[in-house]
Amino acid sequence: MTGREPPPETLAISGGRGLARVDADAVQGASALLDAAAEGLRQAAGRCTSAQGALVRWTWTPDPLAAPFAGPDARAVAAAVALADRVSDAAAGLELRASRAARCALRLRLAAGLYRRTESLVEQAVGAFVSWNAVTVGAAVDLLVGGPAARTFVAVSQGMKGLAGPATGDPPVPRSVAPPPPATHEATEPSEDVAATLWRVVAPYADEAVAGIGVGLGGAGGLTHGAGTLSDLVDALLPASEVRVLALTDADLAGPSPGWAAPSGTVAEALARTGDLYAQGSGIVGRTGVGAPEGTLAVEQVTHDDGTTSWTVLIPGTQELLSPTHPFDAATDLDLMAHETADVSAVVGQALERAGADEDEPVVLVGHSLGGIAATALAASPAFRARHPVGGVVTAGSPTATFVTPAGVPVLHLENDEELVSTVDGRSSGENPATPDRVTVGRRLLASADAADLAASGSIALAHAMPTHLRTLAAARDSGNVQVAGVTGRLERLLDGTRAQTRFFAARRTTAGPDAVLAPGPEGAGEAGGAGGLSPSSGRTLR
Amino acid sequence: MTSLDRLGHPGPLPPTTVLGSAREAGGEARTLLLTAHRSTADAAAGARRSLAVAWESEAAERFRDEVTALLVELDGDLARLEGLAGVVGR
Repeated sequence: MTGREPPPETLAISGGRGLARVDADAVQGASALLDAAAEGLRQAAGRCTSAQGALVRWTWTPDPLAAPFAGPDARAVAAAVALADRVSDAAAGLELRASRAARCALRLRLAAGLYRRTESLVEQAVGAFVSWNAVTVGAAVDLLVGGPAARTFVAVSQGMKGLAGPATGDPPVPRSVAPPPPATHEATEPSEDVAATLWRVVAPYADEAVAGIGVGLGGAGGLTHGAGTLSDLVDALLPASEVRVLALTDADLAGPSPGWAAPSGTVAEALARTGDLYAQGSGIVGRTGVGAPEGTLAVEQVTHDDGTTSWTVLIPGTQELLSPTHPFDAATDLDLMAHETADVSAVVGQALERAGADEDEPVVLVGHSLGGIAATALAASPAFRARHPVGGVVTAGSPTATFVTPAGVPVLHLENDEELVSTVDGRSSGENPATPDRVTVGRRLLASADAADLAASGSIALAHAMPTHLRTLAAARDSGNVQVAGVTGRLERLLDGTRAQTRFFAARRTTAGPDAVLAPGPEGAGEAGGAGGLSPSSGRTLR
Repeated sequence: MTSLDRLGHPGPLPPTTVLGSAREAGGEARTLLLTAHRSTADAAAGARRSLAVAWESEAAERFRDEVTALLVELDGDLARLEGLAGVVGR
């Protein structure tokens, strides 16, 4: 009879286009009625609990009319206890109905875009305390990396690189390896170790900590300036390089042929394909990775019913801490966060040009983690938009709040409280820029009833992985939320089409001199898509 | 809909002999249960009015389905409270 307690709401959605005023008023009215009903049911449950207490109390109250030392009437006591149990069950049922009514009201508001998750006073106080302490940490780090000793170190490093002259020759291109077999089930056993438990407690305050560190590190310039300081330091330590894209053939992919002859079609499929580009695959149950070498991105050419063409660029995330061979590393992360020219942004432009994207054909940029930052940075870049009109942006687990995307471009961000990465911009999901075109879906995994979400809530890696972001997207779509429906509808008009051709490109860092030209090796593989090109698996020669 | 009309009346069986404190406890419990019944009935009435939400969408349809299911359960709760109040009254 009582059933299960309905799960609490885990979603927080901001931005997007809401309802017309008349519809919004109707929704507010209906949900207010149901909220009042929930309150009434809670009061009824409370009365029942009091009634139960009165019955139980009687069973141990001495009978003033009974003979001295006479025992209680055993039958009457048993009857009273049984009755008290039935009243207790009724109270539990009413509590459940109260929760269900409140949940219905909340879901209606959420679907109509009229619900915003707010922090409690305690959460705000703890957040302020965390920020204040983090400023001190940031200032200390700034003294270390920006102080005289560090500046001398950077100057010496740059001087030595200058003395050594430009390096020549290309780093060896790693061969792709066969992807692991597809996952057969999601992790559903939540880790109970100390680190996981601690992370579940502190995760909601990660944005305040990062924002505080950013202020301490970057002063008035904030997090972007702080990232610039670190970026300069890392750039000084790394050899100078440039990036190029190498077109891959099917032979360069160690996994089964992805068979992406159809367009992604949906936001979910575009994100899943982005996850497939990782050497280890996406982790999505039943999907095998394409077996691409590290540092691979994909470009889909989508042909629509009316004969027009659009492009979808799939950009994966960080794959190494610092990589000499490809730009999907922490150095690029810092460049992007500092709003500086980043290698991944450059390779997206190159890949589109190699694929043959015309200047009037819209491009949808889809990215995970670092790829999402690059996608948002490109959409915010007037220079990129001058070459390629941006048709939309989708990011999963990316810190993007510091970028301003242009009006008219639909943007969807997927984030959660426990993944850490998307809060590296110092803002929680609810603090992302919210415009009629830009929607952020945040989620608190720890509050979810889904075992896979609970498992992910104690693991940064699982929380940041593509399957978790896809569950967030599914929850947002299932909620019927008008903002999410609106933005995904606009994106999917470009993601879907009658047919598609997908080209894969390996982004490579090279220290080759200006006269060095990359050429195909002896295997001379052609380019997927027939444009002619280079194969990383065949090696490269200078000529 | 359930009714409260017969709650104040004795049942078909003769009342059991109750002690003074038991009568007081039963009276208190009964009053509380009747108040709970009234609150639940009011809540059900409010929930029923919310069904008239003037928003045409898939989410609104689902809302109506959920509230309708809730109302069925609340009818069961009302009947249960009525029965308990009757038993306690005896």
